Amino acid sequence: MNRFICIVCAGILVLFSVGCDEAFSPKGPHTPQVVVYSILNPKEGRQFVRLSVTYDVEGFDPLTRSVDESISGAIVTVTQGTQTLTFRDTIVAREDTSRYKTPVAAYVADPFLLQPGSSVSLSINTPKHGILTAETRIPSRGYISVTNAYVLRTLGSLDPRIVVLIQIAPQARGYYLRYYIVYDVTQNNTVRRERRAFPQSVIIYASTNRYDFVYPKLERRSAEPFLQNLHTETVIIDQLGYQMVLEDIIEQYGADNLRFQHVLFELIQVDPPLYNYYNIVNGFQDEFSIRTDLPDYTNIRGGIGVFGSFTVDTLLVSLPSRF
Amino acid sequence: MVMTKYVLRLLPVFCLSSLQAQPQGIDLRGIVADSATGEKLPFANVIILGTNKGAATNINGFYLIPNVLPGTYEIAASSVGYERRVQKIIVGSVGPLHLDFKIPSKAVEFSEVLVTEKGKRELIEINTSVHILDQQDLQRVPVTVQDDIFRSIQILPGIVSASDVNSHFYVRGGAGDQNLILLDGMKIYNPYHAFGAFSIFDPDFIKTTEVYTGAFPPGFGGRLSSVINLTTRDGRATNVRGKANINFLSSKLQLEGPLIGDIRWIGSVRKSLFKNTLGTLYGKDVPLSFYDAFVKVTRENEDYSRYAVQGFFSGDELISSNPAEPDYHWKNHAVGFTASGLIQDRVFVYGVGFENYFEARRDNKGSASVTPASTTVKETGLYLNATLYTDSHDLYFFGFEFSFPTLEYNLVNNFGVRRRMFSSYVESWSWVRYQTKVGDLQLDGGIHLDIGSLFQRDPDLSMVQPRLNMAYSVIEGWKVKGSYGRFNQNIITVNNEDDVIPIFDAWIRVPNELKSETADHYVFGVEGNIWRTLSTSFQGYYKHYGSLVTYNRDKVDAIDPDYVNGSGRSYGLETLIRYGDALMDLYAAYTLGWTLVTLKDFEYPPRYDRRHSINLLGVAHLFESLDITIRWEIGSGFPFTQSVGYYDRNTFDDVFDEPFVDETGKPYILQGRKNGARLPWYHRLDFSLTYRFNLKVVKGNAGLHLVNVYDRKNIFYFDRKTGQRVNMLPFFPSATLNLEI
Repeated sequence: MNRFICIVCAGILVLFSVGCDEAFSPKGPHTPQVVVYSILNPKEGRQFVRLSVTYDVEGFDPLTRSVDESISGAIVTVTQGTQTLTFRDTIVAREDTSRYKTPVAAYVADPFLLQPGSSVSLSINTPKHGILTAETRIPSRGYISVTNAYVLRTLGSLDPRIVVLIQIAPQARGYYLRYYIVYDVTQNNTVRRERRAFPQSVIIYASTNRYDFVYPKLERRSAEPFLQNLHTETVIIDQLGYQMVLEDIIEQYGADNLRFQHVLFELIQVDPPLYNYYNIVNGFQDEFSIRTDLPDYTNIRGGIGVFGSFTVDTLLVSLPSRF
Repeated sequence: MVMTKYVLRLLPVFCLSSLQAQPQGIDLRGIVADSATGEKLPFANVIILGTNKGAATNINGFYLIPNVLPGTYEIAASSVGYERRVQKIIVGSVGPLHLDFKIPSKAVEFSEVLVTEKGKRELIEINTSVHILDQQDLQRVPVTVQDDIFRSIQILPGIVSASDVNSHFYVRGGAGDQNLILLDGMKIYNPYHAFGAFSIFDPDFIKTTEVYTGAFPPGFGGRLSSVINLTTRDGRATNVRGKANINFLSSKLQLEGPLIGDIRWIGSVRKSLFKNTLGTLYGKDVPLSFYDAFVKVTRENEDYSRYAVQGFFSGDELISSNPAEPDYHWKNHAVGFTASGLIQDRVFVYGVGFENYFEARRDNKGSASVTPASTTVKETGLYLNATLYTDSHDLYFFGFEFSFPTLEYNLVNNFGVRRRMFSSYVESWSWVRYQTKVGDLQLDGGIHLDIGSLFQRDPDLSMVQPRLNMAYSVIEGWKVKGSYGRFNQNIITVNNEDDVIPIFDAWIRVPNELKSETADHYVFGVEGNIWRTLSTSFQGYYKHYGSLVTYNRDKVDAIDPDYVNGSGRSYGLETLIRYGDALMDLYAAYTLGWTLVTLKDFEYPPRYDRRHSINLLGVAHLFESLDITIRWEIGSGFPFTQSVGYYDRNTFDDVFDEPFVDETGKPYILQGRKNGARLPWYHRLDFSLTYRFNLKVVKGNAGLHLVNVYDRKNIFYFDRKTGQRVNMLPFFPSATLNLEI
């Protein structure tokens, strides 16, 4: 019995000594990983790959880190078809220097002409962090047609819709169709070219006589790819928005100072990695979501970030010079 | 499927066995009640001595022993905490015979309550996973500051709490919204005060708490994990009595007594005292306040019919003086009408009509971290259950429930868009249940049908829910038990899966495009008395969640749903050992459990997955009027997701127009594997000293309570963005005073 009491007392003493406080940190061990950003841009003749590393800080405020640690000495190559290109080191001026003062260290291939429809493999060999790889398939060329283009040429058309047919490549997960009115303005004997986007729809609040323009955004293709077929999507544009923007331009500059040129339709097709990344970092682009978490996405094997691509196709619908 | 076939095959056998007995005697029936208060005693045993015939009283204290042959008998009635009473009767050939018992309560002997009588009572139950707690049981557990039902049930094996300051509980790996809370048959949706710090039910008006931790019988449905079935007291039949209590958190007043004739009533009001006590004693500004009130009027007739009207009302407010911090408001009420009685000689009916309402509102004021939100649940329902007593002593139960829930959830989401989720629909269930005994084998089985889902979503087998409980007496005092049950659930709460403390439980209906949540429970156990003062129980359980509603990890854009169906499983072992003698009573419960949620190929433990859970409770009866109680709770750490670094994440705002390469990006916290790490172990020792006294007409007790005796710094939560660590309750002395006139 005495032994039992002794054991119990000893147990309680141990408990008192160890029980009070226990160090704890929500942080796990940080293993540096390479962050890769590369978006192949068909508008550019040169392409970039940006490399950085993940980091940890003393405490919990990441903004205390004021030096952007770039990765130097990496061997960055891309393979497009049979062609392999090696990127070289470069420096790019930083857009916002409030946190990091130094320019952005990056890798560039110049010239690097993209071939729509081709697969591109990225390989990065870093001295410290090993090999990282990723792939993208650049979407093939798409097509745009406007079935009732006359609506664009008529101020006050009775047809309430502008119907645009677009064809999406099988490599594209999403598309972004934008449209602009392009015109020349003459002011002080100087002619300059301007363009103004017009909305896809207009929400009118009858009670307050207010309205909101709803502009297009990145959309997911409505059906999964079938073989290598182009997929047709129909985009409906509210003619009212077009008319309102047109009238606003005329009111702003005066009809006599304007020469309308054309309506520019721009179709951007986005590959799956870029589509996924773009949506996830922007709250799924879902204004109806009730989720409160902030997830992440990557297609970089061995690291994080994204390697993606997009293509751009355009259509010009000529306009009468004056309305 | 196999189990369904098995049950269907067994049903005719049950029916035949009940028909084989020929009626030769008469029925003996009556009520068992407390001799001092007139309160009806549920789960009391009435036995014909010298025979193997007997019956247990139902929730209204009613019993019926069918087919008693003419002769002279001694009938004994007993219940937990009450004297045993024996009456002699002569049974003739004309019946039915009425025999009521009024039995006096006795000074509580904890050992007897815990080990002997309760052991026997539980042994006669067939279910594997049921615990029945009365007021005395609830009063045993050391209180944090005031008695609390949900705190008390957390000493039971298989039930874990998320924190000291939260009485949300998780049963055998089930989520917090998978517990069905019933108050006199009325569903209560968010039964918590003060961020969940304790329940809204004052234990003093609760007569019995039935806790089903798994494989619950037909008659209960709509939740996957557990049922907490609370039955309130009716009030005293003899004279008007009052009870007052004051502690550091609240004060309360309870009155009860007879009204007119057979009508009696009970009323209870409780109001928070945070500002007065914590503000004065500790100088802390506690912007929280709450109230709750309960009233019940009951009429009982000599023909065993009984009618009651009851209402429950509660509210909470958290009004922060800081304009940058949100305000919260909660409101809960339920009103109901209960009727029960014999509609035929052997058919006892119990019915409840109810309406409940729950509302929670968050006003974000100037807070940048949260948005405005509100949720309401309104439900009108009718529940009816009939019990048919047969000559062979078998019991049939059958019934239905209809309810009309209306759920609404309003919020401003991350996009700043106001969202409203509204659903109004019909839920209807029906069930049949059969209890029999074949030799040493007791069987309790049936079918629970979710009829409502047939009309609202694609029918599947989860709507047909077989339930089976079996118990076999191996040797005297020892039973082997097995249970199976299938369950589904059509409503869920939504909040961030990784919230440490779910302050705002918003109820929504499972979207139509998803399957209801479903679970199959398998339980196996052995229990019995090692010797008179030592009883034990071992149970193993396996729960397969065929369908759970989880975050859609593959969500990319607005086309993808927020939630998808995942699956899961939980399994574990539970041990319960109870010892008692004249000097002390010991209670030890240990649970070893695993819970995993699976979504496609990804598997993770939910944040309430606790591997080890130990509860030790000891009561020393030093003197007749003085008890010392010690409770030690130990639990392994809950899972959490570690922060493993940062990176500057580009948002690509102008990626289609501008080069992305010059963008600095915004810091993003890199997280490790979801719930891949564990918090430190939780442990806390509580001490209570209770002194009972009588001062002329005043009866009372005074208590001194020491919470967290060795001041363990148990982690409540941390803010991964700021690194702020908040611990659970520190060493905290408190006192209570109960007076009863």
